[in-house]
Amino acid sequence: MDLFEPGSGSRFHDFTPGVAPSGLVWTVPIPDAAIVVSQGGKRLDVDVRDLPVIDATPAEVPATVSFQMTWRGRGRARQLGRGTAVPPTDAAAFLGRFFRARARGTFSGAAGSFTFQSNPKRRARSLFAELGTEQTGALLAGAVRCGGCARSGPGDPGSQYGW
Amino acid sequence: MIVRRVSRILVAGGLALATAARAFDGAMPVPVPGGAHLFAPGPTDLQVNPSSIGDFDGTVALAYLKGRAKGGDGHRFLMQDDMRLMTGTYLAADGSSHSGSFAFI
Repeated sequence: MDLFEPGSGSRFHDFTPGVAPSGLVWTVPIPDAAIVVSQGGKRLDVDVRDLPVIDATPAEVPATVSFQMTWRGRGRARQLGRGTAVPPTDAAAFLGRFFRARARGTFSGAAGSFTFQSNPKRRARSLFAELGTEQTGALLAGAVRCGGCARSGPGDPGSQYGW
Repeated sequence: MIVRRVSRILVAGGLALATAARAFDGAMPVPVPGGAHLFAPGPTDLQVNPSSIGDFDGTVALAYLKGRAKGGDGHRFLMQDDMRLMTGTYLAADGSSHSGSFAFI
């Protein structure tokens, strides 16, 4: 979660969970109850309050962030990924069923004496968003089945949405 | 497709564990294979894994967001976020199966 100076583009604050020794990047557990999936997987709401992180810029200090967001899927879901047909390190080493989505949210945080709040009247909005289900790695064995999903190959990404 | 290579802060696992959620049993998921990195889907290349955790089966939401924010002192900022949520079943490093929810911030 980055805050930039308008005009210069300089990063003023960087709220992050950091990178774990395992290599897990900027990922932190949140309560299961914070996430609500509804409308057959086409909507997701999340409400997280006072999540401990660090503010890495300009110096590392303990911080908290809160965010409330909504994803709304659009159109039909499509099956994505190539599963075990590609090496595990390949970007397509997953099988999923995803909607293109729109997301909006409000954010706030605190680090020491610094606090911020995103504009509640003009919520932050997505430039790109997607929402769906997927399987990766060792859990690819029970591959996603979705007979009704639109299908497309790697050669025509985004064709369903006219990107 | 952009592969984001990470070379910044290493934070002790204690920070993540300190945020233990109600259903979280303390077993952290494994990263996406290939080292400290993740993939960045969209807007044109969708054949890209959006999850920040490996060995996962569940719901994933990803959004690249842009907005405005104001500091407590009135200073105005531009805000850019890559936010991802994962909720479902995952394997820990020892291969054991767990359920939980995670935010990539």
